[in-house]
Amino acid sequence: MSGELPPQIQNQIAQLQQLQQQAQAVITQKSQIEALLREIEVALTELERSNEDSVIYKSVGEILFKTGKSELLEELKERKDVMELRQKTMSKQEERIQGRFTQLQEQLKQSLGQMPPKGG
Amino acid sequence: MSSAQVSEEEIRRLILAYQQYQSQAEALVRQINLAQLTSAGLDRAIEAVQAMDKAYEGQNMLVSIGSGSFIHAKLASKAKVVLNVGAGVSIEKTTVEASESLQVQKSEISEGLKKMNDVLSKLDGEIQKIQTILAQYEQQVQAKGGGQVV
Repeated sequence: MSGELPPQIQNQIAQLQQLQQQAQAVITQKSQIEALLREIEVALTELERSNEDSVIYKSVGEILFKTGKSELLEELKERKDVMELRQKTMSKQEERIQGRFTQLQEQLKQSLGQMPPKGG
Repeated sequence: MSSAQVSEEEIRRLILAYQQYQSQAEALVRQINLAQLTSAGLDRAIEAVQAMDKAYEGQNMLVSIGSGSFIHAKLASKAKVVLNVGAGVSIEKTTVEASESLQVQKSEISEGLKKMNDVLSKLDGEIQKIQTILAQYEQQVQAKGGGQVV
């Protein structure tokens, strides 16, 4: 079907497909970051709820190292900040791609509208 | 909706919706499988924590090291369990606290599973509705000497 379309329109369709793939990749990354954020938040809540004398471990690979509550709280908060920053970056990227997609979609609609009628 | 009244444009819309529902259903099935694995893991943990009641300190044990292999060990404490709370953090808890925490996680997973299964049933219903309409439309097209719809 695309063989019958003018090169300009074929190009616009290809760009749209590329943008769709980019959007999908960004959405996947964003949801991974959000899952990590949720996990950090749950761990933070559990840590904050634990007693001051609770024994706490941090996993490094398959090994658990005994560690201090305040030290780990600080580390998790830093990780949360980093993840929130990444989440914002991903949201901006998603918005940018969405904007470009809408713009290109409009251009494609216009191009298709300007095409001479079939068989004419 | 009767297939006799369905326009070609409506059929195209239905095919798109069908593909979307199908990919949503596939993603949901993957999530359900993962949740079921987590639930089974929680069951094993709950069972092991409950078994501490009957165990005694110094008891000989075999600790799994993966791939169905074990190392010999002695139970150092039957009062404490180390629970993973995510993000690489594990907290030592009493067996009672650990059991409660695992039960809570298990309830949350069961609740989530129920919701996901409900959504999956709805998606299946929509998919079947579209399939029926498309099959009827396909029969009509074939009767007129046309090709396949999907």
